[in-house]
Amino acid sequence: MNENAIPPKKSNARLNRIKTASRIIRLLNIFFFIVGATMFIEMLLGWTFFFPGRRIVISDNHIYRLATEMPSAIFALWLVKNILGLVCMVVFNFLFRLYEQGILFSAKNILYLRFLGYGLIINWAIDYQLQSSLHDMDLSATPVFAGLLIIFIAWIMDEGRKIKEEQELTV
Amino acid sequence: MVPMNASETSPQANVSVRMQRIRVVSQIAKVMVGIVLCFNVGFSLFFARWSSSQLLTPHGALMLAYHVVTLVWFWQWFQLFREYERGRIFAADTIRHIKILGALWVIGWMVLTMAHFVNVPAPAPAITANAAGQLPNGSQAVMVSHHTYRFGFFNFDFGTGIDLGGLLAGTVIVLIAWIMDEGRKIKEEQELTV
Repeated sequence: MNENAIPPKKSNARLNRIKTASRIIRLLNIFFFIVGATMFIEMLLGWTFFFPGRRIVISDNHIYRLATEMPSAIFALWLVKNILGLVCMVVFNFLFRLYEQGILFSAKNILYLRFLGYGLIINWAIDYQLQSSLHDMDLSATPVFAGLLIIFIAWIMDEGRKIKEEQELTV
Repeated sequence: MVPMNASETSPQANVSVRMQRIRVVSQIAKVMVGIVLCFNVGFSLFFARWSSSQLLTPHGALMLAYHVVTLVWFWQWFQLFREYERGRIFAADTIRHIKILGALWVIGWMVLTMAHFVNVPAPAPAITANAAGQLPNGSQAVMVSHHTYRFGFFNFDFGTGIDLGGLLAGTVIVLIAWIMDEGRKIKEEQELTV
């Protein structure tokens, strides 16, 4: 018997820890998705059931009560931004569902990570366009750096995954 | 005569090509981050006008702290790309750098948030009472409270005036690094298991 052998219990404990943490994050994400989607629908249709005092804040000096009050170009950008946000939350949910299933480094994981990175950057670009067309800029470049870091990590993970697959094919 | 399998060495060649690509991209990224870091340090030392009166205020001290956090953050980026350049993709040190980057993000966000609240003065009343506490004739004191809850998908606050999106981004980076680390340890343990 190899005395240095690590029993599988330790690996299982690690995997269980990842699964538990991923489940909690996924549930939180689902909760915020429901809140966010409800608020978006209310703003779009002018309802005031759950969030009576809500306003659409494009920037500090451009706040609207209803979506119909916005100029059409601003409305279109706002719509795209919110749909992108909803889609990113769905993708975030898919990513952590994979972690919950114990799938850590598959091609799908990397695809979802990359999507989230690009989502951050595209969202920043939409904010930039919104605020520059209103001549009311108050934007931080932080999301761009976060997005670039996530995309880079995803690319590195993808290359690492392919290296591992190719090494397994080597005779 | 047994024909040689022409693709027998292809996977190994692909591995070398991939590693080389990672090294080259990481080297370029390392140089770019190094330039940005040197620029920031140079700017801070030679061009930024830090006066002792500014630094002695809470806001000034917090902005200096944020500046230091930013420099350390760029240094961590530099070290991360150096690890990738050496081909150490999933090493413990590499993942530690990613965790530190995420943690520094959160710390920077906390410092910036504190600086924001220290800098924002309390609103001055439009009408002031006289020394006896009496308001001018015809005026009436009215209390107005205004709550703003911002909820976007990447930036949100809950009436606090704090953008929690930055905290979320840093936390997600730390989380992903932790999952990578656990995955690395699982793989090492499986290799040791008989």
